[in-house]
Amino acid sequence: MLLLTMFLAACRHERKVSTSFYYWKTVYKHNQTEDSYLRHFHSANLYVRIMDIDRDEFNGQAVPVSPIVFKDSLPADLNIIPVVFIVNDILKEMSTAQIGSLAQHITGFVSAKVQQAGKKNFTELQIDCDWTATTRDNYFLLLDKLKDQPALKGKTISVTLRLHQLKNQKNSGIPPADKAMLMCYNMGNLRKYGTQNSILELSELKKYLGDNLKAYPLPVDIGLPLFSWAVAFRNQQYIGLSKRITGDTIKNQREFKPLNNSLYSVIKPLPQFGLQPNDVIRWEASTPAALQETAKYISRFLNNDTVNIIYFHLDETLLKNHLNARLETISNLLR
Amino acid sequence: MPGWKRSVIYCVSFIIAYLCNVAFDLACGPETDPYDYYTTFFRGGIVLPDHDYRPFYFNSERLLNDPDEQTSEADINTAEWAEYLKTEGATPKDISKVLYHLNTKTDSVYFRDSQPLKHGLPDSLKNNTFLNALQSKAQAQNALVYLGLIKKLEPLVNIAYQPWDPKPLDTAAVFNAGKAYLLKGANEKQDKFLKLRYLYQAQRLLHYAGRYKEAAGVYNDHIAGIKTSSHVAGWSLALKAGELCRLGDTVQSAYLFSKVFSNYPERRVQAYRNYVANHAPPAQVLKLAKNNEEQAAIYAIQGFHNYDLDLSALKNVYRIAPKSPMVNVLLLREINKLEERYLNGKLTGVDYYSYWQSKSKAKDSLQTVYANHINQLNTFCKQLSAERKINEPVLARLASAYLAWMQGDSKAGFATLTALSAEKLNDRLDSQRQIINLLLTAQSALKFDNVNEARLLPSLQWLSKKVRQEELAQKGKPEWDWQSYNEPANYANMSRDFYSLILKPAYLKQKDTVMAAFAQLNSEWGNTPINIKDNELLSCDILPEIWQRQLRSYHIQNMLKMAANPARTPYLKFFMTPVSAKSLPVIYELLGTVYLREHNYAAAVTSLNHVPQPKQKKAVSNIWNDDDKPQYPSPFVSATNDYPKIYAKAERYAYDKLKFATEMAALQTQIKAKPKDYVAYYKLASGLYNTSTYGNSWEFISYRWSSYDYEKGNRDYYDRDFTQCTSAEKYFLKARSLTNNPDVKAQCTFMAAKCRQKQIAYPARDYDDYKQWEKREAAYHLKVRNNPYFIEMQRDYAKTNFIKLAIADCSYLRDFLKARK
Repeated sequence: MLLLTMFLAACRHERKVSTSFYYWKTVYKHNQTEDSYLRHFHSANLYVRIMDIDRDEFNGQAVPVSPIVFKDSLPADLNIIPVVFIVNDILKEMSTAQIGSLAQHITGFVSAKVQQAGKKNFTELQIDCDWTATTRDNYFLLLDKLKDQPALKGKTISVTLRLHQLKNQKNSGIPPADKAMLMCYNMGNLRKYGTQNSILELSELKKYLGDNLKAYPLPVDIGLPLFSWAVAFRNQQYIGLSKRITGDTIKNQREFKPLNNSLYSVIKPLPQFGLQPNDVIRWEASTPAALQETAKYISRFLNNDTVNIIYFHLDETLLKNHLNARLETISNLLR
Repeated sequence: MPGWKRSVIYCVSFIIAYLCNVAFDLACGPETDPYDYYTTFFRGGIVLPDHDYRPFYFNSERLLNDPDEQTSEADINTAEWAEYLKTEGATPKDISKVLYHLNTKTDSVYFRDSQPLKHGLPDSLKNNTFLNALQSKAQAQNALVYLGLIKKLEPLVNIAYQPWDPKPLDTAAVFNAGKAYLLKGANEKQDKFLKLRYLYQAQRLLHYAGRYKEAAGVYNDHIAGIKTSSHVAGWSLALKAGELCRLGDTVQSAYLFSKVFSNYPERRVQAYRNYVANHAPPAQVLKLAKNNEEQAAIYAIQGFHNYDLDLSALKNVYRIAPKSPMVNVLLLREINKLEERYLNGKLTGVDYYSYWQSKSKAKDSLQTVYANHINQLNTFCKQLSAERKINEPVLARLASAYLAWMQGDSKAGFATLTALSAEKLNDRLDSQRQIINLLLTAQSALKFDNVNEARLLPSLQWLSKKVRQEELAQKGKPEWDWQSYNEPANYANMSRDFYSLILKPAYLKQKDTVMAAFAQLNSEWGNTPINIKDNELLSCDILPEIWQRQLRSYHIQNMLKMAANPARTPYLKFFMTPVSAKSLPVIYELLGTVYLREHNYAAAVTSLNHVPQPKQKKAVSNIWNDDDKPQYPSPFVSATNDYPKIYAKAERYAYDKLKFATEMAALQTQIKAKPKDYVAYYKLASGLYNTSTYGNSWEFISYRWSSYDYEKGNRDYYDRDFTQCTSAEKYFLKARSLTNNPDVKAQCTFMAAKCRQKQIAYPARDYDDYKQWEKREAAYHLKVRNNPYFIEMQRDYAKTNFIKLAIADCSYLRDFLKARK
């Protein structure tokens, strides 16, 4: 029996894992540390955020927000996969004509930005949108319209897939895309006061994944978080993410008093962070251990022979907390 | 569609859109004063001579109290051009128009050319003195060429907003333009005015192109050596500081920003922000300072960024540059910090460190910290005042008197003020003296009697006058002016706080509710007659909360007597300014309501008869019913459930306060005549129940309603009816005792049970110990399900028809019966 088990185990086909990163900054510049990670993982692709699309506050039209500027060209051996984030709300009131025009604008803008990145072409366009039941029809129409754009002919259209969309397929629907990238992060209740980790917590993930992933009708890439952030509370009510607080700032015990593993109390007024005394910060991070646990769990539900892991996101300060070797372990766990 | 129809539609649409726009503008109102989040009687807007440092007035909720520059760069540039062309007679207004206010089309057609104005001038600019001057003589022609070049440059650096154009800033073109300007500037030998401007533009363009090294080179090689008082040199210095930051020399960068901060007020806020963002170690920046003034600026910036109680910046700046206006700003900041942390809590009861307040040890140690800081600051103020080295040393003495008031030492405060009597004070400082005098006078009064009130009166009259003057100054400005908040209501806010936080508590302390109520009225109405619109006559929303919730009928009767007494004291006359003949109906409305609360229905009728009644009964807001039809209070209905509320659907069945009072008075008479009339008792009880927070006519005895009222307990004197329903319970029981009909008895018992349920105290929420609170809440629900009247329902009325109805409707009763099966 033991032998049989060993035989079966040995027969298991090893999955091919490719690793790439999101580039989520507004200015693209070469950075040696960041490049070294790309090289280490032989990343063929870099998922580059091109722009957000939100409503213009004056005329209500959908417009690009903070489009990326390329100070340098992308390395020759790296493909660009442009990513466009669409604020879900703007899709609510759009007419068919407006959606058609938006698809045209996105195509033109993305193509020009790809050129600015020093690339002649791209093979995949990724659309990132937290679509809901009320925007589903318009969002899916936009994806169809994008597919119809002559400049996108033959290119893969991928979409990001949030955990709630995976679980609630009946209401969320299956987007008319070629593949999906499952965002295995932002899963807990960010706004609730407490010690939970809303970025990555396996117990939360388990509520969504399981057979839902196994049965998903599109090929699925896996997105994993590398980031951390400070969630601020006043009188135990969520007041926002304090973006300027880093892992180093929170350790300053003249300004933040540790309450337990993840909570810190603000000691003095810190207007530079928008904080007042007694505000409480929950420091949330995606730890190597949590990432490994997650990879181990997800591995069971992947059907394909190849899996793409995309880390969010390529940034020197975030990478400091995630050594190459540790990320390598995650790839191994998914093999 | 005929043409006229279309025109009418367009016109109507336009008018509607226009009016909507006006309505939105009016609804938006002015921005709130950012300085008004804590109680202060020592305001920069009053004591400091100008607003140069207003962004740095203390405000711990923002990085800057006011994020805008206080001096206009455009005005400075215009003034420099006017000086340059003064012999040619160019006026600042015309210069400003051409430099800053022409539209894109005019700029493109007439100016963006190497030979500007070669196509002549548009009619609108024919008489422009600036352009005439530029064309008048040879030297000025060069300036015209410069003007053409900068106008040409504008589209390159000031990109038009075309959101879907993916093209980024053309840094190569900007860089080339920068090099061309550099050449122009370097070659310009004659005209220093233009030379500096060409070089500044060159540096600016190279900076925008991201060529920080080259840009800094322009400054070092060409601009630094120019001896000039032009502010353009300062703008170049600011660019250089930014370039150093980009190149990694944050210490030098911070030092240069501190120089810009000191010398160029139009860039002060920008320089401060950049200094702070540099995070350079202050000790290293200080080493670069070449003289006391430069050191003082660095200390001051550090002080403006310090939100702790800390005198070091103040002392350092005073030590090396006592005449600097920043000494006065830093002094003010330390006073304001104490106001925010110590005084505000002392006056309002809401402590700055409210979370720590419950921990008495921490609170005690904080009080010691505050007391020590007040003493240290007061000692330093005395030093400033004695040494007389600062601008306006009187300010330090006033601060000292104010700190004495803050500590409750009115004797020392008066002594300090008295010592000022020999000084001739300017308006600002005299105003502050008056304010402190008012505060000390109020503090020194052991009791507010006629004597002390008469002492207070002149200061109050002075304050009132100041508030009026301030309002008049603001009147010219439209309410929607986004800049309105730049002129905070200094006196109005102080008047508001003095009446509500000092006078009101003092009167309440001596148990004079009437005067406390008047104090609050003055706080909210600024010692002006209450302005009542006709539609507000039936609502006391315009009256302060203390009026709505605390006044009893004898208080209001007393007020009415005071208002009618022509021989009242001058203080009282002044104090009662808000009450006029026009506002009397509102007071009678309140009196009628209070009589309803006191069950004196005949008196309520008399009072409410003084209030003009509308032709139609007022409908209540329709939040419980699905349909949109109007619905009206119906205080005598009887329902097993409180929700959804049952209302009258037709106006003829509707009640208002007067009709309700009349009917309740009739019921009281009826009961007197027929003491065994159980129907009258039941109806009286229903009237009381329905005017509770759970009923359909709550607004007859209360001016506010909340879905959390059931948690409020017995806080207001009328809560025995409004939240507790004790009188209703008594009358339901009385009705039960007078009838032999078992169904009626069951109904009375059930209604009494509903009343008793309201008397079960809901546990106060405690988020600190949520688990314990959950236990207490569970105990509350258990009590609700074990209502003592439920036992009687089960024991005595199990066979009545009514109980079937009650069981169907009331889940609490069902739970009770289920548990006892």
